[in-house]
Amino acid sequence: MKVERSGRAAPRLVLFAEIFFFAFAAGPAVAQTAPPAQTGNVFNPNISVIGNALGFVGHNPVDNQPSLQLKESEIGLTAIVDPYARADFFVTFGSQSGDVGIEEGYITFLTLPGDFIVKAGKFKAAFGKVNTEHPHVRQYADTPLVILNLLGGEGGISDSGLSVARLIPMPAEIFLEATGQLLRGTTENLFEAQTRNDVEPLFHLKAYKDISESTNLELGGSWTRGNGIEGQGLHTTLAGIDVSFRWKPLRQGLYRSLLVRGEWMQSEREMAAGTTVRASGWYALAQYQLGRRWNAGYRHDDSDHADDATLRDRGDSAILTFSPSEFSMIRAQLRRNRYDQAAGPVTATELLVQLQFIIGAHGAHPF
Amino acid sequence: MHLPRRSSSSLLFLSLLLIGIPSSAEAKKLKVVTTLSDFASLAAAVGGDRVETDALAKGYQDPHFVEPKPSFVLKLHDADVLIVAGLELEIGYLPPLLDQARNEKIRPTGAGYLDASAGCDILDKPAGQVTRAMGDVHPYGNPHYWLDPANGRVIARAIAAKLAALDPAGAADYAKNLADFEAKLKAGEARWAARLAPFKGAKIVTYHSSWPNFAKAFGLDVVGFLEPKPGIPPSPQHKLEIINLMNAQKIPIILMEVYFDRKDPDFVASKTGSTVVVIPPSVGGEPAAKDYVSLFDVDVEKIAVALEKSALEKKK
Repeated sequence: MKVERSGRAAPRLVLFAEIFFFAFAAGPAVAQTAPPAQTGNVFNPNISVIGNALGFVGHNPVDNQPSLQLKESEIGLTAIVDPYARADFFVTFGSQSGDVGIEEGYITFLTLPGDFIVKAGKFKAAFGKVNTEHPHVRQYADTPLVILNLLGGEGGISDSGLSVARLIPMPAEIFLEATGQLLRGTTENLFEAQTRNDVEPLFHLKAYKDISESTNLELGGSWTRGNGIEGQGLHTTLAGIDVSFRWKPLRQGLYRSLLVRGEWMQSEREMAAGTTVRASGWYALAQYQLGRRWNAGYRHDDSDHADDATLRDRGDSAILTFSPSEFSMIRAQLRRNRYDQAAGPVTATELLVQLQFIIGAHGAHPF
Repeated sequence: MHLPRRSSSSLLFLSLLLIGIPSSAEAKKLKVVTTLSDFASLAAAVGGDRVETDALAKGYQDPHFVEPKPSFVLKLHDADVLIVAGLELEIGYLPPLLDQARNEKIRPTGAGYLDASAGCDILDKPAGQVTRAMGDVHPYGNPHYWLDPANGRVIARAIAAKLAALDPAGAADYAKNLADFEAKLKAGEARWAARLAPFKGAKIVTYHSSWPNFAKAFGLDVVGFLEPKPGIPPSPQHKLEIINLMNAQKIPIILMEVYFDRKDPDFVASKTGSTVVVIPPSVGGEPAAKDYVSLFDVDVEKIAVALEKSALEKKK
């Protein structure tokens, strides 16, 4: 309560004051209310923990996941650093031993002139949609095949680097943001920087427009290029397009919504043999909200292998999600993947059951 | 298109910055963005033609579940003033929008930020430990406080002070507009109190706990909610409890916000003989509730009509 009271006083003070003046005025004003016994905790970061239990039923010789696992569970620590920046850390852990990592850890400078936002640290690269999402905001329990095949695996491109994003003024209330990132250039199964000069540039353009108060459209384009895993000087170039259409009638917003999303990607991998493999893949997703707590979805996957474009994996998933509250969710996903293997196709039909729960600080609603 | 001119226009811009803002900019209206339509209505009343107002949430939308759309980033980017409900009502969408807005003025530490809850009568502040076993509970108190006209007056005054501080040239206008608004509100309060006077102490059930300030202001007694806990949809067990409660205490009406599904309230009403009264909790929740004062006109009239009807039925 005391914290709240001083928070109330603050906006009025700022009314009359520049920052330096505020420093003088705030002193006596705050001193009137007794200071908290221990100020250390006041500045502690917001903590959230996301648990993700994932079970697999069925047989899959190609991608053999354990029957039950705590997968990519996440501890989030976020706080304001100083008047200029905020910091976000996401530590992930799983049930396998040694299965701990920094998913993201970065500082964001929010108050730069020129409509720039600059981010530095380790973060999910701004390549398409899925690659930027934490697993807990996805509409399904697994990772689309195109990410597994063309972006190096489940984690996608998450790398150390620097990111600069700028709003570009547009007419007709169109949101347009250009992002440029310079990454270290090391992603498992995808990029491997051999020297310090092998940095990976990445460009992303995001356009968004409200079609009506209940519908909107988002388009994205992404491009990146880095030293591939085939050897020094052999590059891999990735390009992608993503489209999202959303419908949510505001009056019935608690009960009805629709998301239709597609992503297409292309990989050009220079091989040690001197050839270039051009592989592409895509997925399409539709999710319809049936009721306040129920969502049904369908996803189709289609993707070449990055090192052999004659092999093409396909998959279909039907997904049903039940959310008892904003903070927990149980999901069943019936998935049938047809893997193209050099020795011949393999079909795997599996049931994925996911239980996800969030404790701690209230995060933002996914969008 | 503008690329060739860019360097010259940025030079012009720089020189304008150096010599000060030109007089044409003084005529520019203050852009006031609010999370709720109610604050936009109050800001329009106080700001008059010196401000432009824009609300992120519609009056017929659940204010807890607004989506952080990129189009809102654009609105916040251009805003001079941001008025929020606070009490963590906007926690699900405003923080990421503010982080992307690239507008220091309207961040919580900025001069253009106004938390409307400051100085208002806030109810339902939980005592003791708060856990999510209580549902979507707000640790700082019930955020639906704008539904008390007395709080509306506090908010209008805070807006007038904020606008005057940011635009001292308009201070006299804001003071005059505020006085006009307060006179209208005072007349409204007398009108609403008179309309609901015969029903003082009437017991009601509401869907969500959106109405504690409203009930306090108009002498109604909220004895139960259709939601077993805030944000949790009605369960069969809880519906049964509410039906028993309503039958035992002869509760005449169920008050429901416009954005909930009628199915559960209609079911409970059919078992209790009560009336479901669907009323807008915010400005724009229905066309007749076009501003802050007419919001109460609409809500009070609907409740009064429903209570009159049930009183008539009791006499039969």
